[in-house]
Amino acid sequence: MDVLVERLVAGSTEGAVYALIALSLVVVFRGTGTINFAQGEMALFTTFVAWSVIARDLPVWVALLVATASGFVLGALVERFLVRPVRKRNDMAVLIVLLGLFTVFNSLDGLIWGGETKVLASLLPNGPDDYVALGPARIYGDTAAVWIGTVLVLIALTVLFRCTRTGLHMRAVANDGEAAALAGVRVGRVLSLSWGLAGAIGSAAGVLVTPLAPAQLSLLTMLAIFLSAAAAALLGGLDSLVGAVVAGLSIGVLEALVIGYVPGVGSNLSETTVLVIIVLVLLVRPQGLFGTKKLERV
Amino acid sequence: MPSTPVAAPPAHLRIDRLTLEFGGVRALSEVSIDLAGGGIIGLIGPNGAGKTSLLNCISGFYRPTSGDVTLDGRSVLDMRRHQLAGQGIARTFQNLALFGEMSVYDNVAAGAPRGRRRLRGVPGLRPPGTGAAERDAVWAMLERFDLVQHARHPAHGLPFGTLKRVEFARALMARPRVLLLDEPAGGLTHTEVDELGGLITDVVRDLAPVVLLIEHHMGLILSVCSRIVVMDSGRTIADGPTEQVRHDPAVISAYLGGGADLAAR
Repeated sequence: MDVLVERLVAGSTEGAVYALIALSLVVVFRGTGTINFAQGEMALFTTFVAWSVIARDLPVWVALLVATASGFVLGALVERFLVRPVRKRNDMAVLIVLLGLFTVFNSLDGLIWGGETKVLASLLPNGPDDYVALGPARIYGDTAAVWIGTVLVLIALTVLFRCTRTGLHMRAVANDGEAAALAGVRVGRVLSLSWGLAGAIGSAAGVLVTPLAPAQLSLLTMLAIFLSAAAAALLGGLDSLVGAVVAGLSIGVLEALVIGYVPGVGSNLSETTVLVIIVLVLLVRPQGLFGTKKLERV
Repeated sequence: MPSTPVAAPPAHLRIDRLTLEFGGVRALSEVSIDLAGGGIIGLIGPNGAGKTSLLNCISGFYRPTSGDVTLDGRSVLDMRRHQLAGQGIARTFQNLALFGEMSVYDNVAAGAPRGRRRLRGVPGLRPPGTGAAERDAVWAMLERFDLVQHARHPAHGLPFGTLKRVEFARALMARPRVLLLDEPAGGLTHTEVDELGGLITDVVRDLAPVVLLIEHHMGLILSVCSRIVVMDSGRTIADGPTEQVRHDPAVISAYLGGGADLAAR
């Protein structure tokens, strides 16, 4: 029983991490119909920025704000100057651009901040005694920060998409860009905004998540996280906010349970196991758990 | 963008020697139509005559090879599409261009103009209550088009005739000064076509837009249009008051292969 609770807490924390990054992927996908493969690395870049801010003796929340703002700008700039011009010609080429950005940002991090592992301070108090006991499990500050962050982002995005004019325009653009333009929606601006928003979410996620990451703050921090987050977005249906969160949590918990209960499966194989499960689910439900089934009208 | 004042003069849309070529094929050849004076202008002609191509040039989907389209003397060809909407040009599509996964309400709301920032003379400040006023405007439009019972239903899955009304309603949300309708009666039942005629005349009475109406349904054309432009093979072959054009022998032979009066369709 104790093992189960401990595994569930660990798994859902890991899952909340995936969910946060997956949410940023969903926001981009809803706007542009592409998976931003550079999302994780862009988030890592701004997390390094946050580290530099903290290194100047500024509080973590300032670093979080700086990282989030620079993530927004970075996302919007990437959309405006790299994705948009390429996308006009060829959707496939966008993928290559994003894969290129993936390596560019990673190398840039190495160039600016060097290869050695750094420690990023946690937003909430994270000392050995700063925990809330949940049965046998202890929830430390860094864990709580990730959970709270995920819930807040999910609520904020839901309100944005459901209740605001900007959200309405974002959905319209996602549905049919040309029709939206004709209805007077400034499609370009909406797309930049989507990417900026995704960049901001990713960056906030980076700052919250890094203190928990096995690799701490290093050039490898985001690799494994991004892979699982992308899987979560895909499993959730790519265009569903709730789907991203549910899938992210499921993947995190599944991984934790596999590690805890399946003998002979180390943490490396746990990822493989989970990915296999995802493939099986997608074979049955290609649109993902919560995704919209695309209707073709002839 | 200024919202249309009540007594604004009708928009002056002018199509000037418009030519459109795809490779070696001429879809439009020196088409000139002056829509001064407004009203409902019917655009008819056999399939492939270039009617939709003309609409696509006006609404920024095609870039014409030469010629110009002006609205109140300003060329619209270099405008971006959302700017066209801001200038008051709205259109509907033969095969619909709706947001399938969004509700009928959201589809119509998406057509609302961006915040009228100068309301009550305070620039840049959105007056309180605008949100509610906008919701009321959407509901009023849904009611007018008999769509209230479908408001929360996603657009896909609704009957074609209903979707046509949704698209029409969305186009009207911005209170357009120029309304381009591409076969609005296509796929509608007899009763629906009659209702559509009533809606179009109502709209013109209330908003006084210039309406360019592409239609094969001659009954609708003859009942609502004050003027008819006939196209064939990318050219205009007749342009004049409805009564005159419907009896024009050249039109009858091009359009019907000779013999009958247009009203017989």
